[in-house]
Amino acid sequence: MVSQDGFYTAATLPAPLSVVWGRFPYDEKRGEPGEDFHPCLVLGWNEYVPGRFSVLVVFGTSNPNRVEAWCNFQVSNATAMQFAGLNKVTYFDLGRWKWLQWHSDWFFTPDPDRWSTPVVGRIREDGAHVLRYQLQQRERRALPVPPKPKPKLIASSPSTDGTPGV
Amino acid sequence: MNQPDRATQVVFATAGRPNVPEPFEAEYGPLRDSIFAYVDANADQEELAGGEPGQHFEW
Repeated sequence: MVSQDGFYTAATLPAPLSVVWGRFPYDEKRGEPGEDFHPCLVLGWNEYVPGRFSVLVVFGTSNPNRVEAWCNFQVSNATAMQFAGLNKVTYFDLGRWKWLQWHSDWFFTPDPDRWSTPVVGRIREDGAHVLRYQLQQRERRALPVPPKPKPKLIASSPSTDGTPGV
Repeated sequence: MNQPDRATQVVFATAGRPNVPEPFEAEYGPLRDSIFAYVDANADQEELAGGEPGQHFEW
């Protein structure tokens, strides 16, 4: 599942709306290195160089300080939490997203015996509707929103009259 | 009539919380600015956002 250089393989790529576990330095100013763990909601992925993948994530917290509930995605229903692999009510801050390498430096599985990849759960379909609505509302109010997917390039095909394909 | 005691017994998986295994019990705190500063310093956003698009949530 993980290559020798720490990259997760293509077979492990998380589908959009997967919940994965990310790790980050606790606080670089502290003398002792530690780690800060956060669930991350995957919005998409790219193959940024051949064979290397990046994922677009928004960050989750169980501490709602600085996260305005009305315009951020909240997983609080018990069934939704279990489906997502979350033990606590979790707020995903839709105003803060990052692209991260799909690499073991950034993502981990908290229980390798149970999950072979960092993907621990998924947002249900009803949650997807809410998320879509909230993103649209944020956009209407000119609040920061994660980038929309780029259209895939369609391979050009040679035309029959000799002009370059589109 | 003559029905046995049918008092509902509610059994929760883990004291009322979803039955999610132990590793997820860890507290995940506020989103510190240091997290995002670290990401910006160590993950080239321009490079990672490029390349061949894969699957994306449509909204």
